[in-house]
Amino acid sequence: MSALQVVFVAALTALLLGVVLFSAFTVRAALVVRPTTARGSWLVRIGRASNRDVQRWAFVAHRATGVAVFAFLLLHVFDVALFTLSPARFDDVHELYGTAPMRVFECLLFFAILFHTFNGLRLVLLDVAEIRLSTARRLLHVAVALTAVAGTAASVVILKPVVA
Amino acid sequence: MTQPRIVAFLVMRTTAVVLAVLVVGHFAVTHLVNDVAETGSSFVMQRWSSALWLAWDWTMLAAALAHAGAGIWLMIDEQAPATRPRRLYHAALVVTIGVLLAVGTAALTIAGTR
Repeated sequence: MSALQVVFVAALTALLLGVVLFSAFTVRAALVVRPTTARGSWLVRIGRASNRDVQRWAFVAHRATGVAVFAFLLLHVFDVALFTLSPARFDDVHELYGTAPMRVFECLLFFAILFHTFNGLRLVLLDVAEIRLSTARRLLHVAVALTAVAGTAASVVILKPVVA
Repeated sequence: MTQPRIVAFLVMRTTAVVLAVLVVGHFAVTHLVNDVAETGSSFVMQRWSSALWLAWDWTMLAAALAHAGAGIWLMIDEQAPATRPRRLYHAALVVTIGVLLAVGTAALTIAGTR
């Protein structure tokens, strides 16, 4: 690996670690608010609370995916900007995007983008139109279903070159 | 709600709708329509020779940074209610967004005028 590639992988690893820590922090913060779910370890409480209010978990997931996508943008602006310094250096780093581990990362990134997009459009809709709580929940199911279907289909396309 | 919060609220919603098209479209073009291994410098050179793609990329960058900036700004308000750390976090956020916008705009300008 070239020095630039090492820098890219190190930065991406650090960002991923930050995203995981932030997500855990957000999940914990969502759990302490409600005293009825405040018993047991925080990992145990996730399952118990998830049946109660799905909307709160949509909020947690929306925040976590938003931060995750922004974390990648933090790096992506710089690796693309490399192109204007030297196309050869850009290609050096860009080669990594085609590797198997990066393709897996790209699939996860797309799942995050899709959930944030579909749930975000749902939230905009809730702001501009009068929508009942039951309908809002049904729309969340639609957003999750669309994310699962489109994300899986895209993952097949993205992973095909390294699986075959 | 104070005035800045209303602005942040409106920025979030308008950029959200724009980004839903631009970001998903961007990912589709670079990972689904084309394989990511084929989107090297020759792909970028061809893409940025078109004013339309330059406009797409800059609008996407500006909208994403405004969207993320407004979102994280509100998150800081929520998580750091004390005035002093909050000001510090807000300042760090503005600097980060500013650097990203400057780097991205510079790259697109250089590519567009070459």
